[in-house]
Amino acid sequence: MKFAQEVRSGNVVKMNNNLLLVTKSEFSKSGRNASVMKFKFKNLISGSPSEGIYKSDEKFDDVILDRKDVMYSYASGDDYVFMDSEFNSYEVSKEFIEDSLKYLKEEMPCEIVFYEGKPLSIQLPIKLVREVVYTEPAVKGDTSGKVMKKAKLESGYEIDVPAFIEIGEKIEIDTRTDEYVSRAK
Amino acid sequence: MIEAMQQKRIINIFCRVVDNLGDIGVTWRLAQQLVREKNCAVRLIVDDLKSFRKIAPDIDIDKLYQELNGVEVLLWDESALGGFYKAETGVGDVVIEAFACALPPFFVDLMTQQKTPVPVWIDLEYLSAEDWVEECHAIVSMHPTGLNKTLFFPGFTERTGGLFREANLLQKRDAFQESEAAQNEWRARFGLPSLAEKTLDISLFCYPDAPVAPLLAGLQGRNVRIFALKEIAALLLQHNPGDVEIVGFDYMPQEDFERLLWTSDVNFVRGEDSFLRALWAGRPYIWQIYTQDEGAHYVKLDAFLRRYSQNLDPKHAEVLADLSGMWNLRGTKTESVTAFFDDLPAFAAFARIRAEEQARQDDLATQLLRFIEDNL
Repeated sequence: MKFAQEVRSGNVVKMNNNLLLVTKSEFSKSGRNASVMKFKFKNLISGSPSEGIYKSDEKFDDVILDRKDVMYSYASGDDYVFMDSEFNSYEVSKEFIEDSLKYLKEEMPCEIVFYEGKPLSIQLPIKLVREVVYTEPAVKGDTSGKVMKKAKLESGYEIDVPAFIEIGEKIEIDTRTDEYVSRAK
Repeated sequence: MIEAMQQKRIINIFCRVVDNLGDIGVTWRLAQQLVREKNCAVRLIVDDLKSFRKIAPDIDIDKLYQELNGVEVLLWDESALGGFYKAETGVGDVVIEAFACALPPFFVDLMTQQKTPVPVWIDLEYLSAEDWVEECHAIVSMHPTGLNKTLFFPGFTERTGGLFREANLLQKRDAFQESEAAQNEWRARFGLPSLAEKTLDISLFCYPDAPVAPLLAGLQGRNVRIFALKEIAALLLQHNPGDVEIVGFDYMPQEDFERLLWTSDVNFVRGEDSFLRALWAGRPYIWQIYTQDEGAHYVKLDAFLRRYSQNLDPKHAEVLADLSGMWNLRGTKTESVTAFFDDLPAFAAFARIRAEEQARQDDLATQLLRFIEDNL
């Protein structure tokens, strides 16, 4: 069993005898320290897409699939190619990993997920370090971390960071929630 | 007309009182409106009758089952509930889980066993003005139990579930605000002083950490009276540097608290229920939001201020943001108290317009019932 908050893109959950691949997961903070997860699914049996909104403490039956450590190699059209330590390559279709593209970088390690022997999706590391390529100038004197602003990463993806973060700084990100964690050491 | 022709729906509303009165305030309001205006049979299952009694004094805290204002009220006692539902023919048409209060497992089992009708399962969520709410509202989602469950989000825009607003609320408000006699008669019932010329009346409902000292300092010399619950009045008296008159009162029923907001010139409110009622009062108001970890509440406060302040001139929008920041312990701009009260007529005129604009949206109970009918 997994809480919704722990379910990430690349996971497969089982509901009503359906096997659902999570192709996108979004996290939002609701009231009273609760949070809400929005998932996009692809049904592995029927192929049909769906979406669902859940409280973060909802429990799901997760399906354990085979995994392998790989590194991202290159993109070829709508396919993304990953390589293991023995130089075997695996192609994954863009539609299954759309949510991960914002963090994908050549030679970054991740896990490839297999379903019935075929590469299906990838799983990113929980924490990643990325460089801020643009953000508004830092606000002097505010070191509380409570005032947030937008910061652009190399991929163009924007993330909320504390006001004291500057261009060129490296930050640690939680890929489950797309949230800033800390300045990278 | 369509609603009048609808089948009488049986709706269960589950409510856990976690802290304060927001949970029961919201669910009690919804239960009554569904009975009075939407021809529904409503069971309100609540785990804390003592808290409930603070806003509904006729509640008998010793009863497992009672009826009040047409609503069946059941104590959330699992063995008693088990007996009640065993005697019933089923769980009814709709189950509303307020603020994800987690239904008892036996009840979920009953829901999964019921085939006609398959109950509509709704999680009534917190109010937020953030954009993401539109993307998550009313999406029927497959649930691990085999049922569908839907998160229903109140909100300020067309793509959300709307806001609680009973029929003719603004007309009732107008009639009350236009009648000095009605206001004074109501005030006398609660020991509050009558309306007085050139006197500013403020209602104040806040959490204990509210920065009352700078507020009181900024109100000096303005001929102000503050009306507050006795426990809050005691806090104010500790910080009152001089000439602000502070009047305490006991907990009052919801409909009377509503009148307090209508009769006051400015309202300081907190949490969710009173915050929304202050909007409908059409008077300027300052919101103390429920504090969350990692400052998450500030994102929500800012989202609300952005939405509320649309069409408010930038100077006043800044004052409102500064005062709201100060009141929510984010800023120290105490001069915003003075700036706000110096320009009160402008804020008052805007508050009136804002309430009228927002009232053009379908109210939450109407939207909720529409959703239910579409999904039964």
